[in-house]
Amino acid sequence: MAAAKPIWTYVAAFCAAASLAGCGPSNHPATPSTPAPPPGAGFRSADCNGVTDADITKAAGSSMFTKTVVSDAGCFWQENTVLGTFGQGMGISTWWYRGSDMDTERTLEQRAGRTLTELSIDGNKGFKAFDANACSIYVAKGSDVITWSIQTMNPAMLPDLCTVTGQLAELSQERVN
Amino acid sequence: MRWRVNPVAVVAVIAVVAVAGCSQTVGGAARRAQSGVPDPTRSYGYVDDRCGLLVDSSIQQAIGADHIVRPYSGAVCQYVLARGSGMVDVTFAWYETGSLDRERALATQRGATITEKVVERHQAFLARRDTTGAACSATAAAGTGVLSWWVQYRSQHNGDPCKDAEKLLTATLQSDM
Repeated sequence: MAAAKPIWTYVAAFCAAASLAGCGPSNHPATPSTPAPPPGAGFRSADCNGVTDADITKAAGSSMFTKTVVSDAGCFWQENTVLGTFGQGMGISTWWYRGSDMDTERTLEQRAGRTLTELSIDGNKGFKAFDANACSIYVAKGSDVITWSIQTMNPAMLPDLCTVTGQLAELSQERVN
Repeated sequence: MRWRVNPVAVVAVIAVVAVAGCSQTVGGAARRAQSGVPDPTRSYGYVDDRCGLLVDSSIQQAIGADHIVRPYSGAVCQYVLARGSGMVDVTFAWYETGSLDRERALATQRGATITEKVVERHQAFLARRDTTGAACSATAAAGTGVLSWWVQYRSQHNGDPCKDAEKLLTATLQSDM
């Protein structure tokens, strides 16, 4: 059996690996399960996380956005100067994640190549992620997360993008935190 | 008589022993299992450029749209679709630690008309609420949390967006990854 030797070699290697990785002492100590947050520990409910069309116009410095989505997940104000089908995604959005891990979004933003900065609004921790054409702000409370985001092909026509979403995130926190 | 040992069988036995022997080692935080879902440990999170396990072309096809863009991706995904001369808005939400009861309470409080459903063996409800168009969400308890598809016929006040929302929910719950 010419093949016997290599296979036994694999078996030996597998046993060694299994005893090292699988059967060795666990380096993840059992964490005590955290009790579920009491009801109401997340954000309060308001359409568009408490922000109005007038707030959007004020933060953006112009009325170049129109509200096109009001769902239980959140809202979207589309940029009026839609250039082709690609431009249909440009605008300002807010979403409310009712039971989510902010680190999942952190990883996605890092993977998208954006710069990340930690922040805190109204006592809740979060971060912002930005590049030349977008700025998103994430804030967590209990197991909830609220995001404010702007994406545009016309950053020159707008104030600093993180200033826009920063204002909206603060207004929103004042109303639903 | 010489013993003829099948090396593949030996590897299999060792693998079984290794797996069984190490099965007590569990890492990570404890999470409350949902009662009554057929897939209590499954995640429906954003992975491989898919939201709710569906690629964009599947969503476009389900809606019967000519074009689709996805401006926002993560635990919440947002789509803008063009269908004929009209626009269709779609959002997907995956709340990994969310609950169907919280979603139903929120939809009810915001004035939606609720219809209880069972979709692919998952407890679910439809919530019809017209805001910036005729709109409906289809929400189900699934995996560790809750997932929801929302469909809006933008600026329109006829048609049945619940049918499309339920179609997307069914497609997600039927998906084999």
